[in-house]
Amino acid sequence: MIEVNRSMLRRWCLLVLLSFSFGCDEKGLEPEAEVGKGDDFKPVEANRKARGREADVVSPEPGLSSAGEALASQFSCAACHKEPDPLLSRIPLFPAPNLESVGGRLAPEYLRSFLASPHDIKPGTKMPDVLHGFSGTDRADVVEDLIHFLQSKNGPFVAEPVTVRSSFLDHGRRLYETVGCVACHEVDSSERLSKATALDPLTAFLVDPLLVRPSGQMPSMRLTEDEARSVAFYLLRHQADDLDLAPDCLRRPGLEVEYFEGEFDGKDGTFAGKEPIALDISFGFTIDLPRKDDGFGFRFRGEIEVPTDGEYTFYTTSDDGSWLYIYDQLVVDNGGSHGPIEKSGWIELSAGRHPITVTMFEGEGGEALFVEYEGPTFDRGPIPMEVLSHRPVTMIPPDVSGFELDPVRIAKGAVWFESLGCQGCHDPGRSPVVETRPFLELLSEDSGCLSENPPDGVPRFDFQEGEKEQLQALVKAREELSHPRSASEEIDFVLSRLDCLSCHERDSAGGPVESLRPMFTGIADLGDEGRIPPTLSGVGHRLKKDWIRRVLTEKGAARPYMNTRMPEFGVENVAALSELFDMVDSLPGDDEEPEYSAELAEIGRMLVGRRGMICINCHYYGGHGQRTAHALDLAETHSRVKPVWHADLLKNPQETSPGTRMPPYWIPGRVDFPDVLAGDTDRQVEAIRVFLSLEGKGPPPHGLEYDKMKYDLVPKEEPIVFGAFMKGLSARVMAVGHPEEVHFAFDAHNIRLARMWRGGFINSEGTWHDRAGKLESPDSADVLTLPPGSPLARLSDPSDPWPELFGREAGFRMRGVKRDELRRPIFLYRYGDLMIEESLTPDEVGERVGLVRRIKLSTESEITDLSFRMIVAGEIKEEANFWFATDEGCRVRLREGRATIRSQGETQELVMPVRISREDPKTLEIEVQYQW
Amino acid sequence: MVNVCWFLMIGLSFLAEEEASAELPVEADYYEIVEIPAPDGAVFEVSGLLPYGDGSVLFCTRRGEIWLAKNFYEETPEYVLFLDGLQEPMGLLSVDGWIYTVQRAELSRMKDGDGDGRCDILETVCDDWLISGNYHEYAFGPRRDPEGNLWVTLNKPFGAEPFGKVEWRGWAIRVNKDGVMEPVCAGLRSPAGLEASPEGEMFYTDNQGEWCGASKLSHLEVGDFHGHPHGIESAKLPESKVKYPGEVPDRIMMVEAKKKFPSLKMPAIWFPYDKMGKSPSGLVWDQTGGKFGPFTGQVFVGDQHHASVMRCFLEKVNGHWQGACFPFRSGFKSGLIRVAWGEDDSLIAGLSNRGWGSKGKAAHGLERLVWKGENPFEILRMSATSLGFRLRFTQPIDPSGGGDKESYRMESYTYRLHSDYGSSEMEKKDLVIDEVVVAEGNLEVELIVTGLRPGFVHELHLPGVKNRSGMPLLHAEAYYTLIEIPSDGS
Repeated sequence: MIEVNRSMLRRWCLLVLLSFSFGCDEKGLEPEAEVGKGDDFKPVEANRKARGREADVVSPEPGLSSAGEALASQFSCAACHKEPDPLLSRIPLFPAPNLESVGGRLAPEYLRSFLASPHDIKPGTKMPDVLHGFSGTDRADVVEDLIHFLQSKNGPFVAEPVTVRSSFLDHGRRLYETVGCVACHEVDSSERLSKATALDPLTAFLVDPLLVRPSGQMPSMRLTEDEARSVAFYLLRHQADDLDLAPDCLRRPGLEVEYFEGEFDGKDGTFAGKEPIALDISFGFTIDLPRKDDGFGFRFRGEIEVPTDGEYTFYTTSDDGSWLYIYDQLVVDNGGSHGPIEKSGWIELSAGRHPITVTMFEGEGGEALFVEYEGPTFDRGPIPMEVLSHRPVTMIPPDVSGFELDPVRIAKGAVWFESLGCQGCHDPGRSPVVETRPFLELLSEDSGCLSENPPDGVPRFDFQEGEKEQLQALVKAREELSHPRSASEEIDFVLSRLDCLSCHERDSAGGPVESLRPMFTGIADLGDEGRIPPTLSGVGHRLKKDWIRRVLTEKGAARPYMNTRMPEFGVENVAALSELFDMVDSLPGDDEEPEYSAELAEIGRMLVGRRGMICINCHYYGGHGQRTAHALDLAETHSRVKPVWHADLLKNPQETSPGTRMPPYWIPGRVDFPDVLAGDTDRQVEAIRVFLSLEGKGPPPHGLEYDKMKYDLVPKEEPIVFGAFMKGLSARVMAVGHPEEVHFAFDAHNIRLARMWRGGFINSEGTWHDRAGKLESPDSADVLTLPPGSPLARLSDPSDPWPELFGREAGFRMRGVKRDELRRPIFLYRYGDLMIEESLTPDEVGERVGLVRRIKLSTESEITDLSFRMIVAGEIKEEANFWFATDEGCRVRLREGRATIRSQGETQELVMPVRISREDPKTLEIEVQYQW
Repeated sequence: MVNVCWFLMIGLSFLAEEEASAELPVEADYYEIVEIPAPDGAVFEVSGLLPYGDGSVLFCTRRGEIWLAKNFYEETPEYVLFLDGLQEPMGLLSVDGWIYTVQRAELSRMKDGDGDGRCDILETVCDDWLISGNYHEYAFGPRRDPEGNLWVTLNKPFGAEPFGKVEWRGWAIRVNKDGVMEPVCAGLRSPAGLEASPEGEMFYTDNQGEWCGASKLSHLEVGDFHGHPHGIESAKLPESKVKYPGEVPDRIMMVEAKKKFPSLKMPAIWFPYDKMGKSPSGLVWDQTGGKFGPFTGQVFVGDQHHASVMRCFLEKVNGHWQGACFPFRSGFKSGLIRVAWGEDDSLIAGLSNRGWGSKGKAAHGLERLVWKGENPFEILRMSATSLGFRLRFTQPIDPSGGGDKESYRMESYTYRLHSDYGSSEMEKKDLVIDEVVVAEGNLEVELIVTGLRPGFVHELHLPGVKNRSGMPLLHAEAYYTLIEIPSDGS
C-alpha cells in the first residue's frame, strides 16, 4: 500500500494512498492470535509496560511524539479517520494479518473464544472488540458465522497428531530464549497457542512471518525450517502427550534414520523437497542398511551425549557428500559428489545431550560413510553407540471434531466480515467501503474510540495503560501532522513502530531492559559487546550506508559471537533506514579512504598478523582464525565500517566504542613499532585500513592458524628435545626446552648454539601437523640471538677477524648427542682434531633464570691459537663481579678465565683465548653464564 | 572418483557375492588383526619397528621419539620413552649392539650405555647428505648389505625449499664402514620402503607421482637410474656411482625409455593404482618358515593409503627380478608405514596416515597380523613361462572349472614416464587364453596365452577357479609385471 522510493523525503511527497472507507464505525476485526506476534504471550505493548518502559510511551504532553505516531500507526487509526488528509502520510496503516489462509492455521474453537472476547483471550491485542454492542445470543451467532467464513479460507483446520523428536524441545527453548523472541514476548509462553494451532502451520508461520504479518512488527528471526519447527514445538509443548517429556523414560537407543532415493545435487544436506521412503532406527552412522547401490541418501537424527564442556571436533569421510549438524549448525560440510574424502569441523558443546543430524547421499560408484569425533577428554575415534539416542514424542493438535463447514454460515460470515469493517485492516486493498471520519472524532468524550465506554457500533480497544493519553495528545496536535517529518523524526518513528529499541539503544533511549539483559547471550567472553545488540547512536557515522542496507534487507548481522539475531522486518518497512542514518549521523569526510599502495597493504598485513599487533588473536579473518574470542571478521571490516570511525577506533578504542573489549594498541608515549612507517600512528592505522581494503583477497595475515594450541610443547619433568626446521637457522635444529622456562636451540647443520629464550618453549604444529615442513620459531619474544658463525676459531694472530667460514666448511662436524642423568642433552662435535662437548643448563644463580653454557674441549695435541667467542654486540662493557653487558641487554660472565672485548668494525666481541698444553689432562672446561 | 577400473572391481565383488552363500571365506578367517593397546593420549605415528627380544619392541615415530614397548605381545604393554628429539626417524636396525636409525639429515646409531633402559648416547654415523628444509625430504632405512654397508633412500623434495636446493635428493645412498656416503642409485621419487632380501639384495618401494607412473617395488643395484630426473644432475659429481644418463624426455613409454637409457631400472613389480594400493611403504620377506602361512620366501608390502598389506612373489628371469602381486589383507585401522616380524611370527604393523589419509580412519597406532593356522585358498605363486604363466595354488583346485579357459581373463598394460602426476594404464589389450593345463595333483595350472608383451603388467582374473569344496579363491586376481619373458624350456 505504500510506494517505497529511494529518498525518504521524496517518499513522503510521492506517497500514494489507496482510499477506502468503512461501512460502519467499527474498526476491523483482527484475529491477532493467529500464531503471529504476540503469539501466546502478551503482545508488544503490554510487554513494554510490564518491562517498565512507560517513560517511553506515556508522555501525554500535547504535541507530536514519534512514540504517539507509531502507536496511532499500530492501531491503524487512519483506516477510518482520514481527515485531515495528510494524516495518512505521517501515520501509515499498520497492515493487519493476512487472513487468506487463516482456516488452515487456527482451530475453530480458538477462533470462537477469541472473537467473542479478544481482550480477555489476548490482552494487549490491537484488534478491537467490534461485537460488544451485540446481545449474548446474537453475538454468539455472528461469531459462529465469522468462524465458518474464516475456516473456509484454505481450511477448515485439520491437524493430525505428529510424532517428533523431543530433542526439538530443548532446541526450541534454546532458540526462543536466545535469538531475540523474548525481547518482545514473554519468557514463559502460556498454553494459549497450544489451543490455537498446530505444529505445521506454526512452523510455516515462523519461517516467514512477514507473509502473514506484513507490518514487520513480528519480524522474521531468520529461522531455518528445522529451527522454526523446534521453536514451534517449544511453543506448542502443551500439546505433547507427555508434557514433562520424562526425557529418560522416553529415550530410546540409536538414531532415527530416514532413507531417500533419487538424484541428489550434492549442494546441501537438507534434502529439501525430498520425502523419505523408509524409516528405521540405526545404532550408529552406518549405511550398512537396506538400500540400493546407487542413487540413495540417508538422514540420521538423534542426540549425542558428551561428557564435558568443551570443543568437539567431528569428522566425516563419505562417498559422495555428507553433512553433520549439531542443532542446526552445519559443523562438517563434506558436500559435493566425490570419492571417500574426509572433512572436519568443530563446535563448543556443554556436557549433556545435543541434537545431531547427519545426512549423506550416494550418486553412483562406490559409497562410504564414517563419522568420528574427538573431544577434550578423548582422542579421535568412532562415535560409540552408547552416546547416541533419540526421544519420540507425539503432539496432539486442538480437537476439531464436530466442526463442519456450513455454506450458509460462510456466506453470512462474509457479509459480516464486510459490514463490520474487518477488511478495512485485514484486506485494505479491497472494496473501499469504510466511511471516512475526522481525526478529531477520536477525542469525543462519549462517542469516540477513546471514550471510556464506546457506544455500540464503535470498536472497543481496551487500551493499555498510557496508550489513550498518547493518542489524545496526538489528536490535539493534529495541525502539525500536515508537515512532513524530518529525517531524524522519521528514524525515531520507524524505530518506535518496529520496536527496534527493545534491543538497540540510540541516543540514550532504549536497549534491553534490566530484567531481560541476562537473556541476551553470546558464545565468547567479550563482555556486553559480545551479547547486547550494538548501539544505534551514531550508527550512520560508524557504518557504511550499504552495509546498513545489507544488514536490514539481506544479510542479517556480522557478529558471529552473539546468539541474538538481527531480525528481518520486510524490505518496505526498513529500506529507508540506511539512507536516513547516513543523512542524520554522518559527518563530512567520513568516507575518505587512505590511498592504496601494495607496499602499505603489506605493512598493514604485517601489523594485523603474528609479527605485528596480532589482531588475529581475537578476530577472524576470512572465516579463519582463533576459536576463543570470535571477534568480528576483519575481512569484512572494510565493507562494514567507515574509514574515519575505523581509524578513531584503532587509535582510541574505549572512547570510540565505549565498553569494547578491544585493547588500545597505540598508547601515548609508547611506540611499539618504531621502524614501521617511522612509528607514525596515523600512517600505521592507514596501513591496516589499506590491507583490510583487500577484503580477504591476497595472502592472509601471518600466523592465521587454528588449533595450534594442542601442539604447544611444555616441558614438565624433564627437558624436551625437539628436532625441527627453524626459521633463520637451518633445517636441522634441536630445540631444547626446560621446565625452568629457559630454552635454547642448537643448530646441528651449522654446528653452533644459535638461540636462547625465556618463556614459552615452542609450538610443534609446523612439524607435527599434517605434512608439516614449516619453519619453527621460539614461542617467545624474549630471545637472545647468538652471533652467526662458529663459537671456536683458530686465530694465528689474536687480532685477526673472526673467520667467516663456519660449520663443515670451517672443519666442524657433528658427532652426536649424549644425555646426562637428568636427560639433558650434551652436543658432541669436533673442530679438526679438537673434540667438543657442549651443554646448557638452567642457571638459577643469577638474578633471573638464565643459562649456563659448558664447553669441554679435549685433544691429543697442543693448542695455542684457539679462541672462544661468547657474544657479539654493538657495544660490550665490563661491569662489577666479572659480568660483561651488551647494549642489547645481555649479560655474560665466565666462571673462570679472562674474557676480553675485541672491536671488529662496528661490533664488539667478547672472546676468551684458550690454551691447551701438551701436558695431561689435555682437556679444558669453559663455563659461561648468560643472562638476558 | 569416477574410475572405470574401480567400478569394475566393485562390480566383480558384487558378482562374487551374489554367486556364493554367506559362508564365503574372508581375509579375517585366516589372518586376524590385533590391536596393540596404547596409553591415553599417546601419539604413536610409527615409522620404524625393531623387535627387541624378551617380548619387547622398539619403535620410532614421526614425532622424533623412540619408544621401548615391553610386554608387547600381551594385553598391557608398558611403554618407555627411549629417546626424543630426533628428526623424523624412518627406520630402525640393530647391528652389533647398536641401534641404527636414519633421521632426515643423518644416519645415527644409539645405545643405552648405563643400562637404565633409556638411550643416553646417540652418535652421528654419516651426515654427508643435506636437506633443504622441505617436508618431503624424508630419509628411509637403514638396511645392511652383506658387505656391511648401510643403505638409505632419500626422498625428493616436493614444494618449497627454504634453505635452497641440495644434492642427492631422490637417491639411494650407502654408507660404508668408514661412515662415508656413496650415492649408488638415482631417479627415486618417494622411496618409503627399503629392505634387504634374505640374500642381501636391496629392494625398495616407490610411490606413484610425477616421473613414476605407478607405485612399484624395485631392485636397487649400484649404478641404477630409476626414472625420476629430479636429482639426476648430482650424477655429474665425482662421488656418484651412477653415470649421468642424459636428459630424460617427457612422455615416453617405459619400454622405450629402457631402450634409450640402458641404466634405467625397470621395476620388479608395479602395483596398479588403487587395484592394489596407492602408497606402498615398508616391506618384509617371509622368513618364518611357514609359521605365518604358506608364503615363505615371499614379500609382504604395507600400503599407507589402503591401510593394507599386499603380497608379492618374486622370481629372477634373465637376470631381472620380477613377479606378481596379490591383495592379501586389508582393514588395518590406519595407514601402514612399517611392517616387521614379531617374535611370535606375527606381522607387526606400524601405522600413521598423517598428511595423506588412509582407508583406516585412525590417525596412528600399532597392530599385529596373526595367522590363525588355516591356509587360505590363494594363488601361491604366479611365474612366467615362455608361453604364458604357471600358477600354483595353496589348495588343489577343482579341475573342471580350473581347466576351463573361460575361468580366466587376462589383459595387459604399461605405463608412461612423464612429468604428469601418475600414469594411466597405457596400451591396454586383452590376451587370448589358448590353453589351460591342470597339473601337479591339481595344484598347478599352466596358462598358454597369446599376446605376451614384455614391459607390461599382466592382470589376471580367475572367477571360475574353485577348490574341491567349490569355494572361489580368497583373492581371484593377480598382477604380474612381465619385464623379461623366459626363453624356451624354462
